[in-house]
Amino acid sequence: MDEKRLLEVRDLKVHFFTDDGVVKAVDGVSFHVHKGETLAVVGESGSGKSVTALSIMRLIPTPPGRIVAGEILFRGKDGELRDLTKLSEVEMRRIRGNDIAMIFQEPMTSLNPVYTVGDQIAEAIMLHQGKSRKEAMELAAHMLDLVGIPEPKKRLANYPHQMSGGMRQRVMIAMALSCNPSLLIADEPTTALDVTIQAQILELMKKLQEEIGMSILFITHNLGVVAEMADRVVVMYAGRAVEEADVVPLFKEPLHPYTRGLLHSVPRLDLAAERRERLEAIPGNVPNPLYLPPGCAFHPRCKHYVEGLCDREVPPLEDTGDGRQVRCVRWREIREVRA
Amino acid sequence: MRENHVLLEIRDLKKHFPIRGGILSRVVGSVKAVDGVSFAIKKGEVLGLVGESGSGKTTVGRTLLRLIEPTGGRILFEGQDITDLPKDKLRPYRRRMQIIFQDPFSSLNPRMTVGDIIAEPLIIHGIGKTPQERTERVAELLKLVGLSPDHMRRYPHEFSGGQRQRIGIARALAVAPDFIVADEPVSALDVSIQAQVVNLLQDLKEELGLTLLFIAHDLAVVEYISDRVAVMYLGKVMEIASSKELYRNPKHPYTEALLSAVPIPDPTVKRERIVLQGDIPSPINPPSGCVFRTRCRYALPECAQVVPELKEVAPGHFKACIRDDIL
Repeated sequence: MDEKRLLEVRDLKVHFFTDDGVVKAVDGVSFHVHKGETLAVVGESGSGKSVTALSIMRLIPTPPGRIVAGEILFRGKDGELRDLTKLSEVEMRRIRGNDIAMIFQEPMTSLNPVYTVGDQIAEAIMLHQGKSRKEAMELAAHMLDLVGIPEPKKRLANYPHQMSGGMRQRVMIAMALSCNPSLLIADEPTTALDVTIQAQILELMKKLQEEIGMSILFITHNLGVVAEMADRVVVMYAGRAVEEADVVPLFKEPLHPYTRGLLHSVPRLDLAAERRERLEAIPGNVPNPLYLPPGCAFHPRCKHYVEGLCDREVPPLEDTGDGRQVRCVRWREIREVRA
Repeated sequence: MRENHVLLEIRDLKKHFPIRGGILSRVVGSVKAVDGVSFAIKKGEVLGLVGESGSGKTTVGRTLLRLIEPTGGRILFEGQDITDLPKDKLRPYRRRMQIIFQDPFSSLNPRMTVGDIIAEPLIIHGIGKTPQERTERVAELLKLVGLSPDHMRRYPHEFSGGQRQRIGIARALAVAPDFIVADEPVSALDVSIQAQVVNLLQDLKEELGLTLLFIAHDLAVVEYISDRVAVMYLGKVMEIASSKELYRNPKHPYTEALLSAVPIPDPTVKRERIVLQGDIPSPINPPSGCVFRTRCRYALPECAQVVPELKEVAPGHFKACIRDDIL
């Protein structure tokens, strides 16, 4: 694996074996994360973005889910390269928290309601760094201070319910960063928050990334948040990556019809003057993962669909030659027509 | 005669929820969810109501329909005061005022077919005498919202979120209302589906001449669909203006901060962002004077003294802020 890469996911397949059939939640996803960069994984419900994140942490509920194929290569703080899919639970526990930490969408359900936030942060520190309780509490107070919680020493004794949603997400971040991970996986960390609180959390994450230099894998459905946070973007649809590019070219010239559709379906505040143009909605629905359409999974909703071409085989993820990748058999034609 | 065009008006509307405590469950305080809100909606107009969680926007929507009873203030529908009307007298107004809910999963009865769900308001209000008439009306409604009449015999769980929201819209339209409260109608939907539902509401508004109160926290969606927008914070209206004016030229410090907090889906756009410090204060014990002053970067000592009145600062543009020297 390339020296600059911290994480590389290769052809990952995660399937869920249910009574109704096999759900291929993630079906051949590859991407990498460089040291210090923010990679956003964008997709709607059922795209497989959260399952991808959980697989990296090896937190897929088994059964019914299972990583059926692929590699997750990760370079640890000790410099060693490991395939996370092959580690035992004991080895994995050393990676979690220490090397890779995760924050979730709902800070209320990810904190334990019967322990104080101080106890919860200190527990992680004691477990991973072998510190005494006293040292761990001091470090916990320092972490709360770092994430901008006023009166951190006093707040250690608070229970999660005594804090607001934004505060709780700060506690989650403090806990995640307490062991200095080199990769932070953030799964929709601001989705449950109000916009003014979201702005606080995004600013905080950017500031901490600059100070600590960690990489962030940012899972979200919000294109505004992507534009703000990401260096590079992977767009997922129905369990597969359909496009990958640096953030500026992706927004400037989306190559996959789905990416383009997504960008055009959100109203934009900054284009207020030229408004009242109809939103370009993507027709149809997100497909049922049990019965994915044959060929390109997006074809029933795509305006560039050609019968006999798009519905035969799953299109390969192609390199476009300018550092981008797209999974569409017609991307060249579509690009030319627009140019 | 401007009065003739106003369909719905609320004056100084208040809803305080009592907090009970102790073994005798005595009232020990109150949550001032809505605390003196006034606005008027003209016929055919879409008024957007934005605010963060706890701002009271949903309570305003439900109180003005009298789904919850107001603590104070007046509600006028076509100039008629309906605040104290008894249930039987209220019913004809109920037919004319409907609601679309946020969550298309919990707002449809899972044990009823889609046809029965949409026909229920017809039965209650005595529209369509025979089952056949009702079935025809249901089929018509399903087509109107972009579904097929064949869907009538199916159950809600057979539909996706976006389709369920269409069913909710069809149910609200069943009794041919004049006024609809749409309470976060697209928040629970995927991005690609949101646009479908927003476009549908836009079309229906034009086709049927509907008047809407569109409640949402997504400022971009509200801007897109609304003619005028009211911004709420902690139970009070901070600013009201035409959609164009409010977004291009916000006059209240809260609106200014709220707009600057929305991430723009374009990585090349760089803006100065005003990050508000702290959280929304508790509505049990709101700050004195202006409720926003604790997070306002323009706050003066005077802001703690007086509750600012909503006053007209430009034609049709109202704000509740004592500082006229800013923005």
